[in-house]
Amino acid sequence: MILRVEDNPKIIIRQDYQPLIYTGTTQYIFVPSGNTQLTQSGGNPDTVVIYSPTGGSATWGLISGTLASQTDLQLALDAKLNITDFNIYTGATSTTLSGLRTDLNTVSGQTASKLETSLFNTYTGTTAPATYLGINALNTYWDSGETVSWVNSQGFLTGVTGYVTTTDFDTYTGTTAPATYLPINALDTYWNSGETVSYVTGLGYLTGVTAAQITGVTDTLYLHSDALDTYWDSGETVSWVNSQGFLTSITAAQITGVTDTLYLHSDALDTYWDSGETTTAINNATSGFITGYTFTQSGATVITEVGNNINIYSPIHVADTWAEVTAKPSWLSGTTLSDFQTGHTHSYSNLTDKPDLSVYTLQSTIDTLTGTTLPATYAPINVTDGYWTSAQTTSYVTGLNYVTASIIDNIWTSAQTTSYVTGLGYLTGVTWNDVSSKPAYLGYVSGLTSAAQTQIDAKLDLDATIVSVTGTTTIDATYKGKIIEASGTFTITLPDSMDTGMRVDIVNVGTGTITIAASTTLQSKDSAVTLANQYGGGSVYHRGSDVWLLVGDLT
Amino acid sequence: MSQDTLDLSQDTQYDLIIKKDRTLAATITCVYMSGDTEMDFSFADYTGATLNVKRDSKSSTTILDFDTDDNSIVLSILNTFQLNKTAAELATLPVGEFLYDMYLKSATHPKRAFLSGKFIIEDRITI
Repeated sequence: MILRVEDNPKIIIRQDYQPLIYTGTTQYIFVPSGNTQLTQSGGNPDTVVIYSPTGGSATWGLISGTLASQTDLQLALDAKLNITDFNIYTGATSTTLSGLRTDLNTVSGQTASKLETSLFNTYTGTTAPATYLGINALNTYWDSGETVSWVNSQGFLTGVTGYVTTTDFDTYTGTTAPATYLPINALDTYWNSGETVSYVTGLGYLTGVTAAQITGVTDTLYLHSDALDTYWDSGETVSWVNSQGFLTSITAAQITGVTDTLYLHSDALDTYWDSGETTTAINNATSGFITGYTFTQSGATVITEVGNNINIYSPIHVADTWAEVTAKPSWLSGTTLSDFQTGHTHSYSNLTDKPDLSVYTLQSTIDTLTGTTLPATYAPINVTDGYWTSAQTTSYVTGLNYVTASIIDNIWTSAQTTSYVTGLGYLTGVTWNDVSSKPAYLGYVSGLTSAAQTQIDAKLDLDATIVSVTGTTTIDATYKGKIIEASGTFTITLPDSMDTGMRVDIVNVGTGTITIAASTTLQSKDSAVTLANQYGGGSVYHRGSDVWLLVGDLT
Repeated sequence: MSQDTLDLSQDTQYDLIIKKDRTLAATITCVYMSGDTEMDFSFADYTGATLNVKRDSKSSTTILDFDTDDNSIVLSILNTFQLNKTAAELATLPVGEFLYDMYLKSATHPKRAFLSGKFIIEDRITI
């Protein structure tokens, strides 16, 4: 039957008979005895050379032949001492030996009754044999806490008696060490069982020792409360110290002068409560922290140091001005003219020079002025303060150029019109970036629904961009609407997941052959996908669902 | 008594025709008959295939080769395989009638004869 391949035919073939495969079994190839070749039947024969079988273990007794033929084995045997020569050795200088066991038994005069290792390991007697190891054989020292039973348990010694028992040792509470008592290790910081109070005290070890560790301590042998941190800090009361567990069963009565009330240290200037320093109550008029001074009662008006006393006197009246005088001082009452005429620092030479107070306007009146004309008695305006205060008229302020000064504040105040502000040039420098939202009255330009640049970017250029391609290429979204000028012989692949309607023009500008392929599906007339002609071209667009359609000068 | 011929080979005889100088991208569907029922052949167990074209059975050289190694044959896991050649690759072929055979490969069946027959290469009338 003749098939035209390009028609994508369906053919009927023989059923597929795969060779039968047995799993779980071992494949064996049987070769006729004496054969040296396996020839594969049919097809191209492959020659298989079969060598003598190897593997497995040779069994002594089944190996036959001449030993000398195995030269390496023979050489190894030749290098060995002949057993007959060894047994008959009697000399001391020969290169061969005989009677070795006898020689060893008589070395250094020893006899053959040496202790056997097996006997040594099983020794259980109470008397050490002559070769008994010392008890400190492993680490030289019998450390504190290592009891006889413990040492025994280590296998150093077995069956040794005659020492104080472990039980006796651990429970011993006497003040005198037994004769067999282990020495106290002065270098450790723990109060070991059996160490007496007087002994430990004498070593100065009480620092850092808690009361719970001390057995038999009496109140006369009192721990210092600062046992843990060296110092009895200010504010640490007896009850507090007790609560820390440093010391138990101590009462305030045992510390001279200390009560639970707040006391200051008598030596308040330093940080520490030294031994022998007492407490004193605060505000003690005679022995407090500030000594030698007393304060006079409230209402005094003059401060005068008299000895260690400070007296307070009335304040001195200075620098009064007329502006500050809002009412006649009460103390003027009852004064006479002569009080002003003679020697008073702030009086007029006489009352006839007193200014005519009636020509002045009260401050309360000035503050409420709203007219445009300054009153004759208007107080001078302080032009340097920069503020338009109440009652300063427009004409007055304008004349002083105060408006100009107010420009500096950059505030668009009420009543300043747009034209006015624009005229001031304040709008200069305002950028679009400053506009955080579009004013409602502006509206959009017709057809503009979002940022103008975004919409512009989404548009296709009227003039297509030409891209030169000289090798195998898989295009992507950046090729949208472009013209690919291909030169050479290679494949341009159209990928998946492009936008539907994406279109690309491809022109063969060289003399080679350009093949168009798609990652999934490429449709074209007669399945032609090649641009084989120079200046021939094709146009391809994405139909959606990864299906591309190619038209043009295709072969 | 008439004489019958027993065909013990596994391959199937089909003559194939292709066009010279035209891109070849064809899909061939393979089935077999189990009694009167048409069954799909399966390429799932095969790892490769070759198709060689020679002038005659005694020729030591081939004039056209297809192989899964260079994707000129692509086996699906179902019942189809593709033959692919570019127009340029077919441009220099001689026109005429030749012979071909096609073998399948698998781990347990390294050379399974599949198809054989004539391979006819036709010239194009219109370039």
